[in-house]
Amino acid sequence: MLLWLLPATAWAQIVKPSPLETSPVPYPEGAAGTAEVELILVIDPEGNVRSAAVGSGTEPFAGAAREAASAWRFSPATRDGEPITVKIRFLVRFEAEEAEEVETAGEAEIDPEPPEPDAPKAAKIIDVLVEAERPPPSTQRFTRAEVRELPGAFGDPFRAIEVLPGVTPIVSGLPFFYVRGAPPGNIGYYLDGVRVPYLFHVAAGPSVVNPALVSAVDLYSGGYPARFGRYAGAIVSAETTEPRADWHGEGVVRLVDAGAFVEGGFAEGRGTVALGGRYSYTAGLFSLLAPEVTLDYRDYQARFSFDITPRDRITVFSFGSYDFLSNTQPAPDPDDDPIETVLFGQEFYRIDARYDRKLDEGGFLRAAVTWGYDQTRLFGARNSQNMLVGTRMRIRQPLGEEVTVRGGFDMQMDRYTADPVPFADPDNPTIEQFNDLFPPRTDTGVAVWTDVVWRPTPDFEVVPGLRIDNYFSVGTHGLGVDPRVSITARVHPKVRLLHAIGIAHQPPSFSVPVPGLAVASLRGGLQRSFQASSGVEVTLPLELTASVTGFGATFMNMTDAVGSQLDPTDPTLPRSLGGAKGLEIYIRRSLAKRLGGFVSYTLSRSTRSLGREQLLSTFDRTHVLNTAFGYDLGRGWKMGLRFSLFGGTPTAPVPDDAPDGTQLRDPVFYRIDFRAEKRWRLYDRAWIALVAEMINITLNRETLGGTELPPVSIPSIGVEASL
Amino acid sequence: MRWLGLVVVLGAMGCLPGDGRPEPGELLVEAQRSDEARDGFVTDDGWAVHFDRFVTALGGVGLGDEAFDVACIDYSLSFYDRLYDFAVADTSKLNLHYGLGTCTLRYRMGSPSDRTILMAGTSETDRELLRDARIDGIFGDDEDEDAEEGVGLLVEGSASKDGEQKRFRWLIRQNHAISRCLRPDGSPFRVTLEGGDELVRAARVLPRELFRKLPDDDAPVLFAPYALADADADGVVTLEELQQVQLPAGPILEALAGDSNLMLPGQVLSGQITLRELLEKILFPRVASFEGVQGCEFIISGLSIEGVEPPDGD
Repeated sequence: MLLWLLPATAWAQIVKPSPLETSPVPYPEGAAGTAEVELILVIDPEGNVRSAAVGSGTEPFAGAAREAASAWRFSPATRDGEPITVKIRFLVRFEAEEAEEVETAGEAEIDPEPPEPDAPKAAKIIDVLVEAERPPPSTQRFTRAEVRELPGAFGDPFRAIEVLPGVTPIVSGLPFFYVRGAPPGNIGYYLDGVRVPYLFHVAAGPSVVNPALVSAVDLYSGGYPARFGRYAGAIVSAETTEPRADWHGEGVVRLVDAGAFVEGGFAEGRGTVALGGRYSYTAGLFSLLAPEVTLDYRDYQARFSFDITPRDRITVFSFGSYDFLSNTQPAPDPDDDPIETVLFGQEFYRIDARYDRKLDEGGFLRAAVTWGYDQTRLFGARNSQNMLVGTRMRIRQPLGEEVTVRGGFDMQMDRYTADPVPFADPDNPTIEQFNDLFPPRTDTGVAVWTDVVWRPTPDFEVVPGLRIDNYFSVGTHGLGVDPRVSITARVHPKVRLLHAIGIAHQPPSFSVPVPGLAVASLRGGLQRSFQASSGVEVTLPLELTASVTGFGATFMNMTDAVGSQLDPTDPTLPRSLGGAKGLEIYIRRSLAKRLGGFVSYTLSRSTRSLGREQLLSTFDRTHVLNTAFGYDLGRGWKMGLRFSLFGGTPTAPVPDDAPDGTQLRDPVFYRIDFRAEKRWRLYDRAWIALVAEMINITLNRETLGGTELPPVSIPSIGVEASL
Repeated sequence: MRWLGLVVVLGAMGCLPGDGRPEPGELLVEAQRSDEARDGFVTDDGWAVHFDRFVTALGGVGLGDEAFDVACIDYSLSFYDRLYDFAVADTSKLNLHYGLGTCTLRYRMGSPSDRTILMAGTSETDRELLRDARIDGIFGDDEDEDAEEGVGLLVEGSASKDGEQKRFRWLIRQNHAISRCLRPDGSPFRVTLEGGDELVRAARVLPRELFRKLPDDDAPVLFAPYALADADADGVVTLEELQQVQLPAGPILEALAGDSNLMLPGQVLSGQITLRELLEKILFPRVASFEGVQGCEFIISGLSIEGVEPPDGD
């Protein structure tokens, strides 16, 4: 996210970027005289210049300055110690007659120390403009730079979510988790505000978006902003990188797949094009090991952006994912072709067209339209599909220094269909129930929302908000009214108090999301959650931050059959009441530092109530501990280790002769992940690296429901490059 | 028009294949009318047995057995059953299957689920009665021998001989999955399905099997042991009374061991079992079978034999 900060605001600890690596700006050949060029630079959290645009200036000076600026490096701007992306205005002055002031005659040189504002001869930062839309309380963020160093994440920001406090894995290594008691089906996934049905490829595969396109991933554990809705548990929201006009790319080749990303500009930097994707060659590998099994996954991303004016931008962003798993067996008649049975298949595609406009006083407007297609292979060799169309609008407008108003609306229409079941017994009740539960239809969701960021003092912020969702499905409708409030108070320069409380509604859902398939008619009504959290965050020496957060959540009318130990195939969608409470401790130092790491610990209890009976959630884990460290050994070597420990989930049944209240649990499970990297810098910012990484290097086995599972251990050796 | 074009483009994005399998053969399994259940029969010892009700859930027909069949592909994966009162039921469709290859058939007989289709002569009251158990016949834990199972057979009727009449109403709490059936010549009972075939097989219900002296087709069908079990001579034979009747286990288990693939440890060929156990655990599974079948495999669980320690591991 690009941030604009009102310079006078001190309530967040902002450190401006400062130039590090200098490169001379050649005085254009054939030019004469003095000139000033104002550049608009976007500096990413790694200190690289993501984009350079000319704010003002004439040719040939403007072009020379812009071209040189692309190779500059800065120490990144930080907010409360965290690197952030900023946009700065940077003045470059060309003075050909004052050659004695610079090292090389005829060149303008960047002074590594930011000069005094009244030093006219050298280039300087005019102003750092950072937008003050700070993440709300109960939000945790991972930037790409940090995730790249996290052992077990394979450089994937989405996979890194599992180490955050409040996150409870279903099975270690698999990318499905509960967040503060909310099941996977109650967690919404967003990419640039576009909902996506799932984040990861089949068989514990990588995420469906190339990490090179992901700037950061936020986990909203509860009490999330009013702009997010339709999910009663948590939100995982990723943002793509700011478009860059300088040509650059990344690539990775691993044992089972390869991915690439390339981006560049045109029209003097006003336009950018980015292409990315991943392709798995597991099919070929499996053909050697298990010829009857076919596993295939791939994804793509394409983005086009164009700055119509310095304030107006249009972007078209398309992305998609495909997963396929099948088993081929010989036909009964040896003369016939083998018969392939699809065991698993799912895919989704999105095209998002958006218009962004920068408003006065740091305001922002986005209007977007999204088209999408989801499809899943179901039992009985049939596919279910969802064709969707949606629109959303979002506006943010500061009204002075104390108040910022935000609001918007979104609407989505989902057209659900399913193929007829081939070769089926028409009397089969399962088929009839399926058709009754998932009839072809069009569902509609409409929402309006607003909130106000009120900052009466630089150290205090309260954000009350309201969201109203209206759902329509097969002649029924459900209304969700979601008030939300968050409060942030800096009681000391290094201490913040964070509070969030809110209500969220969601239509009936499965415990695990299934693209292209949704329960019709809102039968049983909307799910509802009430979530609250309260915590304190402290900035410690050595660039450490620590937070302690207590949370509580109540989930009403839940359709979490798996978590409630109910029959997930019951067409009546039995409902349950859920609750979760706990304490989260998070101590971190950015993994992007030479020595970085974190300790993430969650103590929690997650329950379900069925009538008068209360029981533990199927995936309740009392203790979840993740700790990792990474160290830059120098000479391009980096190493990291991660230790994860999970308390056992409840097992059933308890012996009849056991004392009342006895609860058996699976044994505690731990695993160790490892990452090692050797990087060679090629030129400027280009590098190539050999990376070895492995989840669960000790091949520990986890026990789930009394059954010991095979070790989930994922090795990876690959070559990564950034050009 | 642009919208249509976009829809076409989006529609063409789908890469998941449709059903590309070759055309299968079709197998219709019927539940055959049971004349014995409708009209009664006379046992070998002269008792005229008549049924007022003979209610059981039959179905869950499946194709293939991984250990038995070399090449069998079941397309339909359709495992539902129907609740019949064979005292009134006529021949009707049981299940419809699609598949390819040479396949053994398997089925289940027992208590209904909430998805069991009610056939003529049965009602929701019957479903509730037969499902009255802590463990449902479908979703239960078969390893918990002490748990109450759903009622797999409700049989109600009477038997008379020489002016003496005995009535019975038995709720047999057993569920059976039956598979690997054999023909009289000992060969596996299979169906061969090729693309385009339409085959019919009949599942039949033989109530007389409840009264076999031994689990053997050649054994006599006798009611006298049940009549004699009426200890209080009130004219009603109850399962509790049958529980008090001890039978030598040897001949019964020898008859089982000599039938198909059952393997029994040698040390259980002595001791005693009760008449109720014989009825519920050994004879009840024989009630339903396919036409042309000599015998099938089924699991006997919870069989306690008086005077014999169970083998290690049981």
